[in-house]
Amino acid sequence: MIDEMAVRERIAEVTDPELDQSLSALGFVESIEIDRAEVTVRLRLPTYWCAANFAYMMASDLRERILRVPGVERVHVRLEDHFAEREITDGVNAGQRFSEIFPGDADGELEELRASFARKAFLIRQEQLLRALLRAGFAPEHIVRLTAGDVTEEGRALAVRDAAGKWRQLSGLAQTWRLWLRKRAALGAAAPGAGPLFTTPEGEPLAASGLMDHLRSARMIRLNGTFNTLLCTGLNRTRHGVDVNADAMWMTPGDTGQEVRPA
Amino acid sequence: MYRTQDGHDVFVVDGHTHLWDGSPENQANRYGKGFIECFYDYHKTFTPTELLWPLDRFEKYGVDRLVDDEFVRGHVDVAIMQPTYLTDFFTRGFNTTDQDAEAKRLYPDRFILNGSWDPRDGERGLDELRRLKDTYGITGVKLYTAEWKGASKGWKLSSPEAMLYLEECQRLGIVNIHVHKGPTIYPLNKDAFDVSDIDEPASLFTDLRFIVEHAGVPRIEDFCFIGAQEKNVYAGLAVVMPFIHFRPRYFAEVMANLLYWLGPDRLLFGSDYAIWEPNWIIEDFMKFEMPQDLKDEYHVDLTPEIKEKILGLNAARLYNLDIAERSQALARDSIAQRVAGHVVA
Repeated sequence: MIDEMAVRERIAEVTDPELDQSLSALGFVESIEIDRAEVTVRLRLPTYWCAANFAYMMASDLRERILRVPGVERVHVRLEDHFAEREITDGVNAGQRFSEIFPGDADGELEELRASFARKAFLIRQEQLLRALLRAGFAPEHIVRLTAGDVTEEGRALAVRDAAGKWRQLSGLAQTWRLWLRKRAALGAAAPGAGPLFTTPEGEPLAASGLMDHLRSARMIRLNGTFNTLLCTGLNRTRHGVDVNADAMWMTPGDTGQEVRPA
Repeated sequence: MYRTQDGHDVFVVDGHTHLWDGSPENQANRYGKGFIECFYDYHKTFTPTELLWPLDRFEKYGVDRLVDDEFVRGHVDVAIMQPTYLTDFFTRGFNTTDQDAEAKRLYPDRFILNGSWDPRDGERGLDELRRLKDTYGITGVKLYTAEWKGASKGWKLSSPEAMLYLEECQRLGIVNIHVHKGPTIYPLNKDAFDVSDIDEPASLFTDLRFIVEHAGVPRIEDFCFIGAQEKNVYAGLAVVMPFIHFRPRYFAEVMANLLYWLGPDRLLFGSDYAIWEPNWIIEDFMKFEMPQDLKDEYHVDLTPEIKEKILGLNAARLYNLDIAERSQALARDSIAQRVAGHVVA
């Protein structure tokens, strides 16, 4: 007997690589069916013309994650309402690589794409953390010197040690912290050690004097992500009637209060 | 003309409008159908519900409707018509300069007609560009680097072929080069919307102005980098504008960046009509205030003076419009009476 919750949890881990959001939260997973040792998932993207390599990544990630659930023997991922639905559905279910489905397209490009998205997502999550610290009154000089020992989760809050050595609680930030840690790991970085916690994607320390420039360029990356998220979720609402809470995605905590929902 | 609460008149140039025919009768193939449907999805996604159009009107609306939506109800004084040929998708083209000329013929002071070119047309295309100059006296073009032609799925503004056309533009006094660089539209290729091919031509052709339509969104960091380097690069705000209604915070952050990197003199309002109508966008924009945290961080603001630049003065400067003179002419045309009637009503 397959544990349905375990399947759903695995599916929820799969993200749109560009938007860095769970496919479930985005409303892209149409249905999940479990029949004995077999799982069938229907995947429907906001537009017919979503890039084939993105669609492939999502479909093959789904298959790979669901196969990890104990008892699952076969997974069928069905991409629907997409220009390459047949090629991608058949190829992914046969366990083919992207280059086997679309000869001429290199797999290396997919890995490069994933690395580039990981870098962007890292910067975006880090911007959210750093801006929250600044808003809480932490000085740039202190922020760039924080180490792993100065930050810890406390329920849904994040506790951070200030310049006087006192622990301060930042509410609602634990989730962002975990996403940042995950993106940091996706970049191939080792677990944070004794050195500076917040760095460039390449692992270089940040300078206090350059912190605002760093945040401003990260904001631009986030704005691109926000645009893509608003467009994709908006088109999904328009075309398929799927309504999700896009406000919660990509917004810096504290900024969301200024967002309004469509009437 | 937008009249503020204290009675000040703001001259409005809509920098991005179309008079298209996407009707089934003009669709050459499934790509044409897919293209207009994709536009329609954009319309539906970012338009207030009570202002949505039915698909058949959206496919083909005609000059009267355009005049009504832009000038009578839309606060706009002068509209720049940006052609989108797409002759591979639409039998008579989607929105050509010759089609737009019909509106210009009826209301000469209301429209600025732009041409277009495609470097893959070679010598024949240069002849056509000269014909557009001779016939309509164009001073601007709208370019679509993502447009399909036969087996080709796009071209680069930095290519040697494109350079020939830019040289010809310079020679003919066609100084405003609008380039579509924005979100991907079905079924066009994403790579062709990349902004990186703007840099080189902008530094080579300093007499020309490169107006990057849709501000390169969603590649704003690349665009701002180029915009900060090249003083003849401008941002066209079509597509960015409608976010003001549903997502004001996103709009504010984009505007803060554009004001910071390009400054208030290089931003041009555009509605992208008929994807969106100018009316509600302009009303929201006039009411809009830059949030304090962004003012503090970027040292920028959207004051009434800056809004006036964005809404009209900047475009007027690029297109050599004398606002006082043009306002007088507009006060005498047949649309003016309808505008007055609309305001009273």
